[in-house]
Amino acid sequence: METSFVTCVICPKGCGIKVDWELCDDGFKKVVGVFGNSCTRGLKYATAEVVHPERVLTSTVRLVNDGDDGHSCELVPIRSASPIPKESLMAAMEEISKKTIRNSSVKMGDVVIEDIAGTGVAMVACRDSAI
Amino acid sequence: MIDVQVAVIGGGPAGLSVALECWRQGLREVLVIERDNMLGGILNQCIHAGFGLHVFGEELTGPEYAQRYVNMVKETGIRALTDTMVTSIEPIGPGRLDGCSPEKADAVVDGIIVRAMNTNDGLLEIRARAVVLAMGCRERTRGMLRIPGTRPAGVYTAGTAQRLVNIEGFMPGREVVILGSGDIGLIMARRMTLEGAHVHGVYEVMPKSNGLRRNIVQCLDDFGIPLHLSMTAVKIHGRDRVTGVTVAKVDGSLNPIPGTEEHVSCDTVLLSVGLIPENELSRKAGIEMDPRTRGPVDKGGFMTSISGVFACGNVFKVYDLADNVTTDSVLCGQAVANFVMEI
Ligand SMILES: Cc1cc2nc3c(=O)[nH]c(=O)nc-3n(C[C@H](O)[C@H](O)[C@H](O)COP(=O)(O)OP(=O)(O)OC[C@H]3O[C@@H](n4cnc5c(N)ncnc54)[C@H](O)[C@@H]3O)c2cc1C
Ligand code: SF4
Repeated sequence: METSFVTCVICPKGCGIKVDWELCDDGFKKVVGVFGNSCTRGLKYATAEVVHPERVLTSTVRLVNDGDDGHSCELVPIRSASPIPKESLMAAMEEISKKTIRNSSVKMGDVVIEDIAGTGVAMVACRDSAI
Repeated sequence: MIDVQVAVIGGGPAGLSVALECWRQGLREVLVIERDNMLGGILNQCIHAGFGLHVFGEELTGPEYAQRYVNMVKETGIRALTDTMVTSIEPIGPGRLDGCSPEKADAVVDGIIVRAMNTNDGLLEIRARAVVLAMGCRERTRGMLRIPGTRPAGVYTAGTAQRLVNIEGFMPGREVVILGSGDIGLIMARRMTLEGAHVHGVYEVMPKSNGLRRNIVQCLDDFGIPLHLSMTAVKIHGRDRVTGVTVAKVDGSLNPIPGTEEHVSCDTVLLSVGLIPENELSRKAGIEMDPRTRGPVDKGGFMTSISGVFACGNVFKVYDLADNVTTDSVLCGQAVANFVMEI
């Protein structure tokens, strides 16, 4: 049995969590015990952190409107609807930097990119656009 | 002259929560005045997640947290003036109002005049029974830190950089050194890295970071950004643009140790060294300030030394967490509503 120590990043409390795990024959890490978390969110996080670390990605996306009264541009904050694998963060940023929303407004929760970096997770708008 | 029951100065989480609570308590003439072009305050630039766990029971980004309050405000008859800057507040007359307990405050007044301006109306005069100061906080600037060296371009506070990257869409630089390990600095280390910059390291003069542990893990460790404790910048180099900083280890009294200097090349320096309440308006109005919190003295129930003038959120004292701002602002809103309904 192996032991890992992780800091939960789900809430500002930042609990230090001890995770006991075993390496299975197929290379998969099987968690056998989780200690020190203050809530169930921490249990889920610590397990994922050992088996396959994931993060919520937040960034911004360009929104451009060529309306009758001229050209306007703003940045709309976006987030991954759920955590994505840590190793996909940079690929996701690449994809986001290429994206521009044209001639439409967005509302909080609208899907901006359906499947970010092949993770199956959507990037959604975090607020209504100004336009 | 606009007459209202409550004028709230600042449309961040504090101002919006106070306005909403006043509305819920039955006040119907509530006005929020915000100098920015949108409501939400500093949360609009805090695009990272970590808000709302206490208030909403789920993890939200700053803009989502703000949007929820903006949506709630829109469902009420609360008026909001954006792009409008408050320039002064002034109590009317020394006259005493019936029903207001005088021991609560030093001066008892007939209402407060709020002066503001915007491009549509020019100068505005608003008369309010109660005023809530909710102007938030700002960052300590480099001047307050006294780092020797030239004054080249490329030195920003972490919060300014946050605004440039997340709202203006402008990268302040590519090779970055961060001085101070406050949360905003840690968050910007990650943000700049994600946007393609190279963050050389975070230098913290204290033996321990005052940033949240979660931010050290997910903003620095995740990206292999080193955190150098007990180190400080002794000089910033560059004539027109930053070319580097000299850092050195410090001793137990935080003085640089000679011989430990190292040069780090960079084109951008971010300072992350803490927040101070934004109280120009309060000081100008003659409100008594607490030198410890740098906010107005609380005369009980969030009231300042001027009767009818309340303060909440980061203008009152620096809160690290927006959720706590909201919780306290609701209490402030109740106190404001009680005060207005008593007179
Ligand atoms: C750069 C920065 C980053 C931060 N990051 C975080 C974070 O990641 N997590 C966290 O929990 N907390 C963070 N904070 C703390 C944050 O300030 C609070 O959590 C919360 O936003 C405070 O709410 P508030 O309403 O008091 O202030 P603010 O959100 O700052 O709102 C104040 C509002 O008042 C307006 N205003 C000021 N003066 C005037 C005037 N004269 N006339 C009209 N309007 C005026 C401002 O434009 C602003 O919109 C950060 C603070 C700063 C400065
Ligand atoms: S375990 Fe629960 S309480 Fe502890 S940091 Fe994680 S989410 Fe927060």
